[in-house]
Amino acid sequence: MPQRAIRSIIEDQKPVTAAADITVTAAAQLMKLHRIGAILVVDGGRLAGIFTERDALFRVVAEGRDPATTRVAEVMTDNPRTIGPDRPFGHALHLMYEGEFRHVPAVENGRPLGMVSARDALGPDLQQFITDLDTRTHIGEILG
Amino acid sequence: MQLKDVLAAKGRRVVTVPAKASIADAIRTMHAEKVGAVLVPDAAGCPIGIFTERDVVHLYASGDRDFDSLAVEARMTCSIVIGQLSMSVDEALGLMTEGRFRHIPVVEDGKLLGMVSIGDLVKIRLDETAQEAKALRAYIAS
Repeated sequence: MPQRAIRSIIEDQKPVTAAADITVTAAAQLMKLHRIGAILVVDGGRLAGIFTERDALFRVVAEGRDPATTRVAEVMTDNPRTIGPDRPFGHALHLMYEGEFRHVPAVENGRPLGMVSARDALGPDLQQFITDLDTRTHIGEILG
Repeated sequence: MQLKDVLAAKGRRVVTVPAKASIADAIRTMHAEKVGAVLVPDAAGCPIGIFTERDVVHLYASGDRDFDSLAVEARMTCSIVIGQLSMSVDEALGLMTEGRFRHIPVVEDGKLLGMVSIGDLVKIRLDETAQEAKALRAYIAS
C-alpha cells in the first residue's frame, strides 16, 4: 500500500477553490480551465464541500436545474470525506474504494490544501503497487 | 490480469444511447443508470463515440443550454481507444494515464462486450494488493 504522505502528492498543486455562491456554469469553466474533475468549495477560507463532475451530471440538468442560475452550494457534495496531509496515500485510496468516489480533499485545520484523486494512483504509485507485489513474491521465494 | 477478468468480475453491462438522442435524454439515462459515461453505437452495435460526465461539464462551461434539441452526436467524443479481452490491466492503465481518459470499451469482432473504467481498474489493484498481503500473512503464519 502506498505509504508516501498525502502532502507529497499535493505539494505541486495549486488548490482550485471556488466560493459557494458561484454558478454551476462558472464552476464548470474553472474545472475545464484547470482540467480537473472536482473543485474545492470554500466558505470563509474553510472547506464547505466539493463540486464534482458527478454532481454536475446527477444534480443539475438531470434534476431540472439550469447551470447558469444554480449556485454550486445547492448541488455540491456537502461534508465530503477528507484526509490530513500527513496520512499515507493508501488511506485516501481506501476511502475512495470503500466510498466509491474519486476525490478526497486534503484538509488541515479546516482549510483545504489540495485534492487527491484516483488518478494519482496511476502515477508513481501504480509502480509502487507493482513493486509491492513483486517484493511479496520475492519474499515468498526466500521464505520458501 | 486481463480485461476479460475485469469484465468477469464487474459484468458486461454497457449503457448506450442513440447518436440522435438529445443531450438531455443522455444525461437522464446516465442519471437513471447511475453511470458516468454512455457509449454511442452505430447500426451494427459498434461504438462510434462516448459521452461522459466530463463532456457534460464542458457543455455547462460553454454556456450551451439547448439540452433538449442538441444531439449527443454533436458533443460526444469520437476518438476512442478500444480494448480487447486479452489486454492486460497494466496496459489499459497505461493508456488511460497517457491519454488522460477514464473509460475503455472492450470490442472484439465489431461487437461491444463491455466497458472498463479507471475506477474498476484501481479497485482491482486494491483487491490484488489486499489479497497478496493476506496470502503472505497466512503463509508466514503457517
